[in-house]
Amino acid sequence: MLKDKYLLVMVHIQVLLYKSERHIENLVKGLNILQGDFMVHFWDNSNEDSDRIILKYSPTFDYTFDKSSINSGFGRGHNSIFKKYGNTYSHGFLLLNPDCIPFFDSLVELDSFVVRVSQDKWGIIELEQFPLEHPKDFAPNFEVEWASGAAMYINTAAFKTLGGFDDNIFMYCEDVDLSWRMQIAGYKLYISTKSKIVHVTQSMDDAKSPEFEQVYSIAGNLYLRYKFFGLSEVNDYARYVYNSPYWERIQKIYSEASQGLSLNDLKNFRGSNIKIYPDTNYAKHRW
Amino acid sequence: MQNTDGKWIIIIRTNVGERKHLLNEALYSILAQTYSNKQIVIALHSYDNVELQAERLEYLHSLKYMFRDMVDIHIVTADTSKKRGHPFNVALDFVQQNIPDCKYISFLDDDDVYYPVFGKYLISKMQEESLNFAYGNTIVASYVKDALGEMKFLEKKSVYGEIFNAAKLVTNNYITSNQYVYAFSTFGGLRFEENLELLEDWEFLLQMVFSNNIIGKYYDKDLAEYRIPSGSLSHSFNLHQKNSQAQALTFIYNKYSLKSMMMDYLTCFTLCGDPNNILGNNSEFGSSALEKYSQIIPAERYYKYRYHLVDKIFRPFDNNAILRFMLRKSLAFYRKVKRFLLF
Repeated sequence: MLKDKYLLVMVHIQVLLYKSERHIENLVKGLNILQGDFMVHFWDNSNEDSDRIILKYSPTFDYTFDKSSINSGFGRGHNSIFKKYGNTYSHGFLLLNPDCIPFFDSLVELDSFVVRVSQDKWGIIELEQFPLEHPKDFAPNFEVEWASGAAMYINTAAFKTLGGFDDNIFMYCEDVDLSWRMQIAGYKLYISTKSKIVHVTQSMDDAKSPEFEQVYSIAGNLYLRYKFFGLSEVNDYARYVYNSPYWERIQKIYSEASQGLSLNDLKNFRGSNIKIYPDTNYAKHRW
Repeated sequence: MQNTDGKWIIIIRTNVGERKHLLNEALYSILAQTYSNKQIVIALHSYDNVELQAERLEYLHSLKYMFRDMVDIHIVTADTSKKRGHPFNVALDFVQQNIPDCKYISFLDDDDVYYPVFGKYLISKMQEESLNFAYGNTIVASYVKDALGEMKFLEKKSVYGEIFNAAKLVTNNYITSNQYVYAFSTFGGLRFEENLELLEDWEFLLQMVFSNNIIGKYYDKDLAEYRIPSGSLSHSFNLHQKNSQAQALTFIYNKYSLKSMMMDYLTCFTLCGDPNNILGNNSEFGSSALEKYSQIIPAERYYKYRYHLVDKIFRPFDNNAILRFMLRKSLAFYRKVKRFLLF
């Protein structure tokens, strides 16, 4: 596994925590049996001492632990980790949600997949979620139109060139945004179906707030439409969601985010040939 | 707060073989369970290749060692010459002798998976409502293989998910083996019939029904997945399977035809209708209670459904005298039960 320049030499794994105590046991124990060379960078956005909890489960892997005094959200949180440790990363690095458990062979299988696509200009390789795979389609060569941030292996150089995640997005849709910017820059996105992670999604976790997901997903959706397609797309979508009981909150989040975009940003992104589904982000026929 | 005092044992039947990656998924679906007090018993049944038994056993022990901090895994080996029910029985015997605090049991084939809330959801319902049998929906996921040999799911739909009706269970298996949890204290003595090549899972449920102790309930929640190659649901059995099914049906008929079972009051209406509008006059749903009451299937629909099902199974065997004979006997049995209930 460690022989070729395309292979995963030492995989750096970024894990962003936020009130993640209930997930840490399974995550640490899952990482303890993960095959391969890796180091984990934990970053706690809730300013809690979750390193105590990590230690409680006797991690057998190398890791770092940092915490932030403010909750900067998913994108900014991962950007912070990358800023601090990214210069030690090799060809790629892995993002892993704390509510995920990697299969023991997921890095080994990822390694094989990287070899498979090594001649391509790949930007992101998504790991397949289990038991409910992410509801989108993929091409016979495993290309996808966007990659889920729950578990994604990112091309380090590409991430650096593109400036990381969009700071304007607090949570949800920053993975779509990164995916689309990767596409615009000519990078391909893949899914490695043999590299699996258990992901306890909102529908399977009573402790997750559906309201939070709904608010930030819709706001993120509006923001992406504004950033990549323009106001007509925003209004087109808003027609379907303005009846949401959280509409005021959604509008506020979207407005604040979109104010962070400069005219230059909009010029760079609009009119690009991004592959998306015409009417939904997901593959209907699979569900 | 959920009571996790009751130990939940999940029994996995496997021959390992070319299915290691599937077994891994089954195991991870258990590791991902939000119910914490659980253990796994893996029953190795190398009926297809006895020579590889030792190698497969070694593989299972390596998994057991690898997952030792996450869940306790016990491994038992079944007699390779015996049929499908035997490995489950070996596992159940093991549980009875070695895990005295086992409270709940469920089964999982090595190519199926649970959703993460399967155990917690059903066990909490059993605790809240004093049930000894509970089940939800099983999603049938049809797949094709992708270029890496992994399952690419084309469609997922709820096929197995119906209200609990003990009478209906007698004539039709609508509950899959990976769909339910049952109380070991009530049914700990039950074992699978080891003579059956098919329908051993249904026969096990019939044992529960005819024990007259079953207090079961269905919950409309997607809790497990049953994976099949795309198109296989519409495939008919081959000749060997047809013979095995016929033998199993004959066995089931012979075993249960003279037995009687208790039936709850409301279930009787599903068989015979409500000609006196008893439910209508006495339930919150009024005159259309039989239709509206969510736990009841109107007798007329039930009757038609049953014949449709019988027709579907037996149509290919129109020229088969044995099966026509069985069909006549089944109908005669049904009429006897109906007459008995009307008294």
